[in-house]
Formats: sequence, C-alpha cells, structure tokens
Amino acid sequence: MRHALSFLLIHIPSGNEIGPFRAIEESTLAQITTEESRGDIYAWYSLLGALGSALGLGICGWVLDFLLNGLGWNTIKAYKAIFWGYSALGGIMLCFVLALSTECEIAKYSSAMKDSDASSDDESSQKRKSLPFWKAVKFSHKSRIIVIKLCILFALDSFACSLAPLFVLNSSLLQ
Amino acid sequence: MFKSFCAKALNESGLATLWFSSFNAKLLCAQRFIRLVAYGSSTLILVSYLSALEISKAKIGLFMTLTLVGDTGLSFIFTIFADSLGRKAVLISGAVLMSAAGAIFALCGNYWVLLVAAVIGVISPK
Repeated sequence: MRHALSFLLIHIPSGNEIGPFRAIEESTLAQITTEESRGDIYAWYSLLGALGSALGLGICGWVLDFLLNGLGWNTIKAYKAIFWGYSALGGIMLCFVLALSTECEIAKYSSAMKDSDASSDDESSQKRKSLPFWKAVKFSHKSRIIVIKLCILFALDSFACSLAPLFVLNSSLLQ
Repeated sequence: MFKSFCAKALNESGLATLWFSSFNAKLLCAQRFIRLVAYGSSTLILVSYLSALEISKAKIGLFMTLTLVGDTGLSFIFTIFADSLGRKAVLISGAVLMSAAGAIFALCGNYWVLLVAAVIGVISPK
C-alpha cells in the first residue's frame, strides 16, 4: 500500500524540468503557432517530454542490467557508459537546435514592443534602458502583475511537488 | 466509416495539428523528447555513481543541492537574456553545456571536478 502511494505521488506530472531550455522553447512555441493550434502543440510538447523521461529511465535500466549482468562490466565503467550516452544525446539535441530557423527569434516583435513601451511611460522606459538587466527583461507594464502572480503560484507548486515525493519515498522505503 | 473515424481521432488527439505545424515546432518537440530521455537516464544513476565512487553521503547531499542551485541560477540567467542574446544562441550553449557535462562525468571520477561540471554544466538532479 505504502509503495503504491509513493508510486502515485512520484508520478504527479509537474512538468517541471530544470535547465535553461523549457522556458525558451515554450515562448518560442507560443510565437510560431497559431492560436487554434497552440493547445494541441503544447499538449504534445509536454506529453513527449513525459514519454522521453519514462523512456530514458527504462532504457537506462535495461542498458545497465545488460552491461552489469550480461557483459560483466564493473559498476563504475557501466555508469560511465551511460554518461557517454547522455553526452551523445546532448549532441543530437545540438543538431536539432542548429536546424532551427530564424523564425524562432523574437526580432519580429521587439520593435512593436519598444513602441508601446515608449508611448505608455516614456520616462521610466528611458531609465530602464540604461540598465542592462531591465534592457533584457522586456515586461510590458500590463503583464508584470500577472507574471508576479504566476511566479508565486508556480513557486508554491514546485515547492510542494519537491517535498511530497521525497518525504513519502523516504518514509516508505525506510520502514 | 473507418476512414472518418481515423480522421476524427487524428484531429481530436491533436496529432493532425502537430503534423501540419511548422518544422520549427516539430524540432522543438523533438529536442525536448531527446533531452528528457537523457535527463531520465542520468537521474537514475547520478547518486549511485557518486556512491560507487565512494563519496560520503553528506558530500553527495551537498553535490545534489549545489547542482540544483547551479542549474537554477544558470536557467535564470540564460532565460532572462535569451531574447537579447538570441534564443538559438542560448539553446546552442545549453546543448553544448549538456554534452560537455556528460563527457566530463564519463571521463573523470574526481568529486570536485564533477561538482564543478554539474554546477556549471547541465545535469538534471531530479
């Protein structure tokens, strides 16, 4: 029962992924898809992520089992082989990224955004432009409050998600 | 009858939308898939690898924490500056960091070298 519970909790799909990629990919997808297709594309984007994660865990287990029991390698050598695989997958990802076209860049929208910014509050945008940080963060005044609210919500969500599985897993495995 | 059922299934599941989406959208989905396959494999063995290298539990804890902090910091900086540096350039450097981190983990067994590789490079601790 306890194991079933920990299994359930660990597999809550939070969709969280650490690293610089996800946020950039999602904002790019929002830009290059039409409004009607966006929902479907996002659904497949996250489903493929979950599938990949599951496949990675599975393949890693099978390969390790084969290397350790089938070929009789020692543990460290087998782990290192998996990390070579990790590195190779990074290389494949690099090829995909290199194949992206300039359509993905934000260039198209930046001029329009600067215009609306300048017309809404000239003075503060002038001030902001002098700081490199605010130059990089192009929040419009309207979206800032929504962004802050969403950030708090997601922070809480991540916090809870990262606590529950660890806690349940530890307590269920230790007993 | 069967044909219209298939067409409806493809439409409803969004597969048709994915099929007719731009090449870039497909690439973005594919690169997420590949990346998470890699993350899945490294997550499983990261802690076991460190303990196989006979690193103490406290040091492994520190390792995981610092990796998470490093990745969070790196993601923040990369994402903030993505639009001004160019999204593609940022994604390229991320992929290079991922590949490099994997290679360092495969080549080296020293705790401190691995720690630096995990903090600066892209290795998923969860």
